[in-house]
Order: sequence, then structure tokens, then C-alpha cells
Amino acid sequence: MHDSVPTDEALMALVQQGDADQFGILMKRYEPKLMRYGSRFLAQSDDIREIVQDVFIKTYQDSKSFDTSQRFSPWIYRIAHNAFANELRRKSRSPIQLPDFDVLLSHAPARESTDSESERASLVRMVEKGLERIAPKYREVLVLYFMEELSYKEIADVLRVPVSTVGVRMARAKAALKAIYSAQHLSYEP
Amino acid sequence: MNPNAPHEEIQSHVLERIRSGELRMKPRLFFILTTVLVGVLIALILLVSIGLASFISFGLRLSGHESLLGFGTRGPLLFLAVFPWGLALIDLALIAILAWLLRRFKFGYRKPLLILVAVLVIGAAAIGLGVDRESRFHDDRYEEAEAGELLGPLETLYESARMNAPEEYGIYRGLVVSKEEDSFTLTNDDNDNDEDDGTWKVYPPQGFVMERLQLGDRVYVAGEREGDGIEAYGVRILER
Repeated sequence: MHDSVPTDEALMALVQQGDADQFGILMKRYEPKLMRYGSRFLAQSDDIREIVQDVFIKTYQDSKSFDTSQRFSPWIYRIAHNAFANELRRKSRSPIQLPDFDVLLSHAPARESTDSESERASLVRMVEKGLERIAPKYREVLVLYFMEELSYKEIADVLRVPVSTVGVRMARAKAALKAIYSAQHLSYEP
Repeated sequence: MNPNAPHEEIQSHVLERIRSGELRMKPRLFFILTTVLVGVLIALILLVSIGLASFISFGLRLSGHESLLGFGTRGPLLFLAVFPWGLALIDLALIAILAWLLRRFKFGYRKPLLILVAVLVIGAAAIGLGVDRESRFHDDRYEEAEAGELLGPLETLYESARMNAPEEYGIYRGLVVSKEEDSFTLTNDDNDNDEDDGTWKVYPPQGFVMERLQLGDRVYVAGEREGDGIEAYGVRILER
């Protein structure tokens, strides 16, 4: 008989009942992921650490709004996305945001790519290497899809955009990656 | 510093604050109340938006400006000039707030923003038009305002519903005081005490059935002045 690892959702159910120790396990699981996610937004690791701490605080405070029948990871990434996006806005020289045309218009329904395990691993490596040169809104979908392994629907819930917009951003992000690799005369295998 | 390195201090710091009672979970009731509050706010804004759309429709009907849409090719252009854009912009601003609030919910953000806004604009306009045409809500409020039975700001709003008939655009509104075979005489008094007040001989456009016109009818006329006459390209008998 083996001990099964409790799911994030099961841990959250216990946290909601007041078991704070289970929240410690969740923090242990998500801290490296959120640090990595934050490093795609901000350069300073001190800032990232501070914001990740705020994300955990907000997650704990809002625990009772979490529906344990849903997946936990898109929910915490939504909190993290807001926190990092707010920090980016705060640091930006022009706090006024222009409307995002990807969200305004209707696009063809998005279909998730069906890459094999090895293709996906190779893509993850390429994404890691080429990320810094890609615009943040395209970078984010790559990170959430390839590194955090969220589905298009879950990414749509994190970013609060239509699923088709995630598909469009993903296609553009891959095209940008391809352009970067072509410019460096490296091979690109999506 | 490697951002992937474990940071025990974050976890212990947060756990310490939880255990000391400094950090507390917000009660479930807080989230329920927030959702209910947002729901009520959405319903209120939607109601005001529909009310405003129906008020615009009422104003266009009361002032007779909606007649311009049937006055050939010049009428619709003139309609755009006299349309109450100020109220329409306020309504659009309300719909923008509504769309922003709806995007908190899955059904709101899963739709492209343009489609969401278009559905809200068309929906509010259609329901507003329906409310105005199928009920006497605004007519009753207008009569109450005339009788001084409405609250101050509402009374002012309803008193402004009968929009001006701007003579600079060639629009006249008044009562039929006499009738001939191919023309009728109109008293034009739009309460602005200017030179277009008085009586005007109106020559209706071809195809206008003079028999429909009765003495005392209130009419809406669009046309061009020639001497003391008006060559009309559109005439419509108003309800009141």
C-alpha cells in the first residue's frame, strides 16, 4: 500500500477548515513555480519574493472563496498574475493601458497543439532560451502553457481573456520564437 | 540570486503570521455579499441604462424628431444632428461600466469585449425601445411632471424631454390653424421668442394626404422657408 499525495484541492479543503499546516505544504509546492512565473515579469528577485509572499497572503485570506471542485493552480496563478501585473503597472512610466485588441475582437476557436512528450520537452527548452526577447503578453502564455502546464481554458481563466485570444497569443508567441531562432541560425522544431 | 532556490523564510513568515492570528481568512459570507453587491450593482446599472435608452426614445417620440427618419434622404442626416448625443454618451458610459463589471465573471471574459459591448448596447436599446413603445411609463411620468407631482430632478428631466424644434435646421412644430387644398397654416411657437414664432403657410411634399390633417392637430414639419411660407419635405401629425 502506498501513501497517496494529497491534491492541491484536498489541501485547500483542509485549509478552509482551519488547518494552517496544510497551507505550508501548498506554499512549498507553489513557491518555486510562482518565483519562476514572477521572473518572467520582473528582473529583481527581491521584488519577486516580496510579491510572491503577498500572493500567499492574499491566497490565504481569500481561501474561502475557492471552489474545491475546481483546479487550484489556475486560481493561484490568477492571484499571482494580478499581483505581478499591478507591480509592472506601478513601475511602468505610462500607467495608462491601451486597449488590447486581442481581447476586443473575435478569433477562430483555439485548438491546443498535440505535441508529443519529446516535442514538448524540446519546446520547453526553446521557450526558456528565447523568452526574454518576447513581448510580456506573449511570454506569459508560453510560460503558463509550457512550464506551468495549464490548458488553454485555464490560461484564459488566469488572464481573464477569451480562449480564442489565448490561441492567437500562443500562435504569435511561437512565430516570435521562430523568428528569434531563425535570426540566430538555430533550428526551430515546434 | 537564483529565483528557483527555496525560500523557507517566505513560508515560515506567512505561517507565523497565520498562527499568531495576524492573518485571517475572510469569512465565506464576505465573498457571498461581495458577489451579491456586484450583482445588485449590475442590475441597477442595467436598469438605469435601459431607462435612459427608453427615455431617449420617448424624447424623440414626444418632440417628433423620430419623424425625420421617414423624411427622405435629408431627414436621417438631420436626425443625427438633433439626436440627444449627451444622454446617449452617458448611456454608453454606463454600458462600459457594466461590461467592466461583467468581466469579473466567466461568461463575461470568455466573450470578446466587442461582442459583449455590442450585445449590451443592442440589448439595452431594444428593451428601452420596447418599454417606451409598449408601455405608458414615460408618458405617465411626463404628465406627473407637468402637474408638478414628480421629485425635483426627475421633473426637470421630464420637462426637458420635449426637445427644441431648432429652426436653424428647418424644423418647425405647432398647431394647424387653417387648411387649404394644397397647404395649411401652422402656428409655430417653440417658446424661444424669436423671429420664427408666428404663423407659417406650409406646403407639404407631394403625396401628402391633406384629408388626414384636422384643424388643431399638432404637426412636425421639416422644410425650407421661402418668404412667409415653408416648402416642406416632410410633415407628420404628432400624438400630442
